[in-house]
Amino acid sequence: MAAGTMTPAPAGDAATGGPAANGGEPLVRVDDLTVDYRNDDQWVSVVKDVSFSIGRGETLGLAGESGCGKTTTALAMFGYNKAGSRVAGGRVTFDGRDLLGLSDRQMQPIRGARISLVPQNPASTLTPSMKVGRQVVETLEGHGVSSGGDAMDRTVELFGQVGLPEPAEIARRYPHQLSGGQQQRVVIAIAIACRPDLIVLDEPTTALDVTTQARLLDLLTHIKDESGMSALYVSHNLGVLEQICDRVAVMYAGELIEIAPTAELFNRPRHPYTRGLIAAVPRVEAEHAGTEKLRGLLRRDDLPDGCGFAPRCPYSRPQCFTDPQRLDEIEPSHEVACWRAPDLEAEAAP
Amino acid sequence: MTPLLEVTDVQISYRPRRGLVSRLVRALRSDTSEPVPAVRDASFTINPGETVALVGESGSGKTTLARSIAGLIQPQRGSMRFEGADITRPVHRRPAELLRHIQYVFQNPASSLNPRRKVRYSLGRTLDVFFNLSGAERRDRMAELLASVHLDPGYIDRYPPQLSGGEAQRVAIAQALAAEPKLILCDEVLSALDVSVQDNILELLRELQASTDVAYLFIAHDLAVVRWLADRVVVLYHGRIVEQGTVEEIFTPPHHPYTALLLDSIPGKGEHQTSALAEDASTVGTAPDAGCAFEPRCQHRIAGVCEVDDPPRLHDSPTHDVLCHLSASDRAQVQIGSSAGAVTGAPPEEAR
Repeated sequence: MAAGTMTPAPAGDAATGGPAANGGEPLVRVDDLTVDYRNDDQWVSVVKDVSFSIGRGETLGLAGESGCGKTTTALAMFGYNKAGSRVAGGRVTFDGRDLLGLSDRQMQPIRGARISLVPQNPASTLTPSMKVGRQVVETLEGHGVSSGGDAMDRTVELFGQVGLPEPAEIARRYPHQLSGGQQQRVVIAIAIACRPDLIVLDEPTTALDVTTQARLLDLLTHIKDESGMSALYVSHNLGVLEQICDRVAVMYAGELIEIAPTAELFNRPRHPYTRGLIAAVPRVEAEHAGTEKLRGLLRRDDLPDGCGFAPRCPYSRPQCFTDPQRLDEIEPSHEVACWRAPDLEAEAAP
Repeated sequence: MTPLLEVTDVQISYRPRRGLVSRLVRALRSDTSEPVPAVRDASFTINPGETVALVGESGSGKTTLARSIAGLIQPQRGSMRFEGADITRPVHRRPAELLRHIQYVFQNPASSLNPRRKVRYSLGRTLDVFFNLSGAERRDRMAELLASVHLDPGYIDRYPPQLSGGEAQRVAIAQALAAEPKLILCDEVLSALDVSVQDNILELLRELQASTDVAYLFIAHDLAVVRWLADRVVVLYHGRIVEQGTVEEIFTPPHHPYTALLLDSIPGKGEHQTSALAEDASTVGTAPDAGCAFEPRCQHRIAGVCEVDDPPRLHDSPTHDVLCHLSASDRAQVQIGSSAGAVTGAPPEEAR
């Protein structure tokens, strides 16, 4: 599995916050993570041998279609095990500690304080019967950051920071009295309340209008720049990741198939699946070439022994169905799991 | 040519609640205000076989307008004509032929299909309502419908929960097609789906239009999605049509300032250009009573004018209207060279 291990990128053009930029150990290292879900009496791997790292201050994007295992991978940062799932192998090292070896009790001071989560649907994250200001105060008090009046002052300050108008007034409202965009700002305020080292964003703007999404992406960029937080941003829309991430990792059928600095990935995507995902981003500029479009759907019940994408790949050869693919460094800091990638480069005339 | 659908000066308000408690609360607050219309002065047409996109944020009145075309809500004012005949009446008082010709596909396929009934039932029901088919004809037609949305015949015996989002949306589209309609109202049919699946559905919609000549009213909040599907675009803000034109006119500056904001919001172009003024609609609250509804969020408002006077409807071209105090040349001055201008003006190679 050596080829699949994400080594800290050498300097070069490794984007602003790449692991090398700050030197030293990355904040997060995921090594050969495998997560299984129980299906009847069998365990099925939904995440297979996934390895990557997130540098300090870096934002890593995790892209892929529904069911590719991206959320499962992201939740591993919290040591979460959903009912019916198990970590079958691998390690998640956060700031030198192996998270998967910790008990719930040991995780408690880390979750929400050092690693926080912004999930997709803000309405179901907030408690409907509690004023939103109180929900932030609870987080601050729970982690012993501040309490009482101080916590309320800090809440109002946080609401200002996430761009909520009249923060003191908003703090006295219930979630249903806020719009979707405002609710998501409250959730972001809770997520950054304890100044975490890592914020995990799981499709945080998918349920929102494009205008609201645009403002939230600007806000997140601003917060990251100011705080130096690392982030893991999960999305099916590469357009969103292009805007906010330093590096992007693409997953397919539970495996990482390509990882590269953002500009490199968009300018020279090597894996046919990545190319299809990029072509699927709705754009104003020009219509995409038909050959790159993704055909069909990810069907996990019918994966070949070789490359999982082979059945949908316009370039697949018989070997693709039989030979498993491993991530390989094709350029400095650009890894791809496709043996045909060098040939395809030649065919990739724009 | 007679338009397929002609909507003229339509105004729709949601009636205030009539219950005793609601009325008491209003009386106590001495609230005698009229409800704010969800849609006002809406006029547009759809020609046979054409795709008109209806674009705007949540709460702009897109769905309200589509529901009124379907006869699910009654407009208070204005008229709607379908192939020249008045259809401004509720769904239960519409002739069967009209019901057949206007079909609706909803945002969330999982909740628009009956989870306890097989695909066979959903398709068969539509066929039974509108056509008198023999058993064999009915079977053949269902297989044909599934094939037209690229699903295997085996899907006929699936239950909706066994379908992925994209598959369920295909079934919902097949169900609409079963009626052999002239107009399908597609209400945010892509927003619940992955981008890659969205792309497939867009392609399917185009293909079906080419083979059946059906017209679409395609509702979306993301302008990028409609760029390569629509023939014309109608932009709605707070219930008013602020801009409409051909797809080229909408994507080429000068735009209405709100359209410029929507274009700037498309992800994947780096930092957004528009200022903090352009907050989400809800942050600004309800539209002001007087003047332009977009004025509180507009970067180019004219003090003393925009918040006072209703904006005029300017005709930038015979097919292109803009509801704005700024003339086309004023808008061109502030927008060309800005983000939206740069994107649409640049050749594709440079833009990527």
